Amino acid sequence: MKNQTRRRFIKSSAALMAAPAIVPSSVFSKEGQPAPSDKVIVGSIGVGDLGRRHHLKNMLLKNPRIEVAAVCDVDRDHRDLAARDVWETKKKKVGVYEDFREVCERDDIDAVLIATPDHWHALIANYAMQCGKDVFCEKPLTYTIDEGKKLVQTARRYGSVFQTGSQQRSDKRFRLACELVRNGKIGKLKQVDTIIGGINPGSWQKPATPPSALNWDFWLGPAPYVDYAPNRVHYQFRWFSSYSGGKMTDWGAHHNDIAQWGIGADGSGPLKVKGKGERHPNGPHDVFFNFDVEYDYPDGVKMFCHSGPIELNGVKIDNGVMFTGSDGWVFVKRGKIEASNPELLKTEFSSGDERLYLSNHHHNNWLDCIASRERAICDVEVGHRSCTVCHLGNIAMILGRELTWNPEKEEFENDAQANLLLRRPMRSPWTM
Amino acid sequence: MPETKEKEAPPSQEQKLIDQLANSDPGKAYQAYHALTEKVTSAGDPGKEAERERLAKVLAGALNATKTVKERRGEKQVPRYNEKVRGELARLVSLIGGQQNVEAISKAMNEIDAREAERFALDRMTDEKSTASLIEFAKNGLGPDFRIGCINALGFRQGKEVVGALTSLTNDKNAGVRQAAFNSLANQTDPSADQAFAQAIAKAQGRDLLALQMYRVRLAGTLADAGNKEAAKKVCQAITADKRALKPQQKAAKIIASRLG
Repeated sequence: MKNQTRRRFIKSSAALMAAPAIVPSSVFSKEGQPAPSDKVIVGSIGVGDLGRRHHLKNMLLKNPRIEVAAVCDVDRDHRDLAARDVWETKKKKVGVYEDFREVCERDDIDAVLIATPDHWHALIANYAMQCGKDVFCEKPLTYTIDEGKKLVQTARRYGSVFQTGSQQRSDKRFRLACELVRNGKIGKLKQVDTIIGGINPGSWQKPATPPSALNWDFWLGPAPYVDYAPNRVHYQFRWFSSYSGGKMTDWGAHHNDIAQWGIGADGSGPLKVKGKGERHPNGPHDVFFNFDVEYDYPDGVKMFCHSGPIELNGVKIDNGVMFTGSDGWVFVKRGKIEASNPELLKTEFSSGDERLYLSNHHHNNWLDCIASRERAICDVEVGHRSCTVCHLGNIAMILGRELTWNPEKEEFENDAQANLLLRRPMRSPWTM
Repeated sequence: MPETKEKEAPPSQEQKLIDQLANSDPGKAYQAYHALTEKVTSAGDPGKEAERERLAKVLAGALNATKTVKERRGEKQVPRYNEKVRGELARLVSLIGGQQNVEAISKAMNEIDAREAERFALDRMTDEKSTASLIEFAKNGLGPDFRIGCINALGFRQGKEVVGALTSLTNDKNAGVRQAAFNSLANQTDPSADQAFAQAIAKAQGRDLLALQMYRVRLAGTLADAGNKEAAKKVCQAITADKRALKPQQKAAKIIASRLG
């Protein structure tokens, strides 16, 4: 927060010089509370269901280290409700915006939290970083692999602090599972299975006039133009391939992220991928709903991503991550961790053991890093590489053949058609 | 001898599926699109060059197919398939690639209704012909939005022709076109691109100024990533010396410069 604090300090100093010499007590820290000058000023971009309910109301407004200065959404109802939430909680009026660029361009804002539909994540995050903002971006971080590469470039060039919203890394159970695996407590790692669930087929709806509160053209943004239908927006967008990679990226961005952590492949990835996926035969949801994808990692480690449910090592699983080693297994999901030998879960790690990045609160880790300028637990490259695993799975299913991936070059080898799918053309004027 | 009428060949399976793309039942059209996608992706398998060529011919033929409609003043040739179908056909063709298919897409782009989807297809194709076609549409296409889309696509390509076209487009009459040209120019590994930035930044205001500064930082990063350290350093120095450069861009230029050694 060094630069931002200094900037705000200069601004507030100038204001103080122009004002009577009465300093509001609120400028100074109350016991246990950060001084206003130490707060991170945040713009909340995308305040629909997840952005408003989870991030704004439960995280941002409840966090004493954050001050919300702006809310932004292409749906007027969403942004107005979000502004009301801030008023009711903080008795403070915030800037209300339709266009994310106006939020990013505000000098007084330090950071943005992005919780828009997936096809917008990278564009907004990239713009925000170029405006000097630190970023918290919901998962899946990107819509294509190329977008992720660009986000990493921008973050490194601008020195941005970036947190991807794959918050399982800030959960002690997932960390324990990965530490057990990384330290050989289940023997040599042989196989990882991620089980992430399927989706329903949806139903066709006739094109309709968009609600007056919704800027449909802006909602579509870089995606191909189609007429509005109510089941394309808000939560349902996930099941349309023009906006998302389906469950593969939606939940894959959580569990495949944990697989990458356990394997130790952050900053890298698999070497081969093949998979079979099934789309609902009549649409309209056109992402894969039923799938099994197989990845080859270095050292002979296999990873399988299933829509599930399946039974592995005697455990019935509809969601979670199973690590299987030569001497045992560990299974983890939200709220639950199990192991072939329950004693493993009481492991006391020694000083020689490899310990993983410790974060017990995803948002606070981001705030800590904004202050320290260290990388967050789910830094942009972590988010990008985990999302890459998901995109690779989708591309392998689209093409229906085994693909060889070069994680260093981030390209497929000897497959021009596969490489065409690393990026998407965007609707004018959007580009990245 | 009575005249024998040559029998028309029965429509191929692909042709039936192409016709089905236009079905008013969206579920049936959806099935056809995914069946064709499977054919196209399967033809991408190594060693299936002949199948790729055959399929591309069928799809490109359909993309350019016309029908005759009667008008008050006579007859007119119009595309046989509607906007949605042509957009889908273009996407399918683009997954096969091939210089000969660029012509089919470029021709189709002269019809205004589906040209954005067809531009997407050209954007995906990476050969010289598609680049030349994009340059032509960027310079002389109808309407700034469409031209901007073509210019954005050029941002993913390299080469003297691309740099030349983009540099000339930085002087276009339309402000959006000019900005798009700078944006794409920032991805070029040719250091001469910076001259245009220096001149434009001196005159720019508001969001245009911010955008140009962002692009200029990206140009420095592009040059650095391409191994052209000296040129990257010069651009970074120019940014840090520019009194109008904003703090994030000044900081970024320093970071990039510090990594150049």
